[in-house]
Amino acid sequence: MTRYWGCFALGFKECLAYPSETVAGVLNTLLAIVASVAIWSAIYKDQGALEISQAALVTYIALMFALKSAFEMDDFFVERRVRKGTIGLDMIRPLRFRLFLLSYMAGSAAFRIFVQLVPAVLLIALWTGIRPPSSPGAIGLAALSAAVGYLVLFNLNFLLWVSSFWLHATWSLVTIKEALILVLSGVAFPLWFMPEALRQLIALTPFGAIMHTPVAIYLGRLDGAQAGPAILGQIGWAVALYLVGEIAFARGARRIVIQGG
Amino acid sequence: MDRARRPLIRALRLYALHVRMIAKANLFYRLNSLTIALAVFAREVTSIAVVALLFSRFDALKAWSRDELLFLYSFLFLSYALVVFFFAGVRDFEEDVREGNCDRYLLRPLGVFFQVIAAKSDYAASIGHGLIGVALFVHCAAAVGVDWTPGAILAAVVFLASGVLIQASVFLFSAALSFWTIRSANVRNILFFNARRYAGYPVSIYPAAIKVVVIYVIPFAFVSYFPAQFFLAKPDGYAFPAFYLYLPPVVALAMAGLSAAAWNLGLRHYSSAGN
Repeated sequence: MTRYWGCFALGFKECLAYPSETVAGVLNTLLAIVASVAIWSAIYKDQGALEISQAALVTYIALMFALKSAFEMDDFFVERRVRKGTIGLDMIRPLRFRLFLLSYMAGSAAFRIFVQLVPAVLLIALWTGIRPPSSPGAIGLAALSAAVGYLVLFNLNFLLWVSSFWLHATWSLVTIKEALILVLSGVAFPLWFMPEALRQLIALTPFGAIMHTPVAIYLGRLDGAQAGPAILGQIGWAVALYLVGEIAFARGARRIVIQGG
Repeated sequence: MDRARRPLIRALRLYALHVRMIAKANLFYRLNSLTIALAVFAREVTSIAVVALLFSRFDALKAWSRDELLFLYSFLFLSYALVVFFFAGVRDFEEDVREGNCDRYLLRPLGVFFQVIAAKSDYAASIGHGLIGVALFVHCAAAVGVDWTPGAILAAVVFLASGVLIQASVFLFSAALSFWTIRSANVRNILFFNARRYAGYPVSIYPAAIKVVVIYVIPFAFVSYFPAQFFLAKPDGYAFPAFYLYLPPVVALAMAGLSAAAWNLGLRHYSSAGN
């Protein structure tokens, strides 16, 4: 078990080696939040009141972008190793490949939570003069939901990473995946204001289970009674994606071993 | 000799040769090029999707209708498609310096800048952005009722060219920094792509600090907002002096001049440093 904590620490420490990337990440997140808030402030000025309060929406935007940046993973980590052939070493190591990846990625996520998410949220809270409203007690549930959401994203990403066992270049798939997440997870546009048909479509996909659910719980849009089923839904997606990923990985690993990379 | 007397013709012929070579390379790996173009298209369509979603719920953003907003957006896509077609080499120049290509360029009997722009063309990104840009521009110009007089056509062409020059100049500034071994890619990405993100909406919605940056520092407002206002004359444009509508070519030439100066300064520094 300690081996995986070592991987976690490795992921965390490697982020320290690239301070300019970290600063760039914080700036990009802040600028994206400011842009979105400006657009929605203009909307609220025209419209007056909407079903979501402006304070709640600003908080939603800030938290969604901050979570997105904290949840970022190196989508080409596996592909690079497949290309170089070092994937073979990963297979023969006494580590479960998938758990190794998760520990490593979680390490860098932890780094980004402290170094990007917290400062970004604090700065936004100060700049907009609006303290993000919170329901006490919902914060614990929201944190739990966020952790499960991270697992959903990891399992989704893992499917794409495994495809590098077959495909020469996964850049196109990864880019399309990122585009889908940006729109369908609620980051670029709050799910609450989407057309009903689209919301129902998204409910059939794992995208809403990544970031929208935790933030909705945090804001109190999903109260205690509703939070439970929502989190169970997230767990369902995480498990489903996990199973598909395991099948794909088993097939892919065999392919590599037989063909010798 | 025809060559010695017509260096411009020779340069154009060489450039055309490079374009053909790059096109052939792309066509060879056709499927790869196509999937990359599709991926770029998908990524850029998300910003359009957000606008569509916004207007599925609300009627107007600061008195701009959906088609008017997309008309503004189309300037960004069209100009960027041309920028990455011609100036992808400038955009990625830092990589060239790191890999030592610049030394190779210096040894050849052609200008370094010419080689930089001839050697690279991002077909995939150009097609991805270009398709969206053309579709949006054609549809929205009709939808908002642009009257295509000869003057309007000329204005559109001038604005497009200005937009290309402005963005290429920003890339050139960043490329010039590489001569001093400054790792500028991160800073450039933050400045360029965020300025571009902000320029996709009317600048009047932003806080003052953002407005100042997007209009006077990284002047993307002259790529999309003021050209669009020239045709649409939306009420929020009256916050700015009227002559701003005619400034895009001026800004473009000024930026081009400044960035060219920076480039020449950097090149001199690089080649004399005994690398």
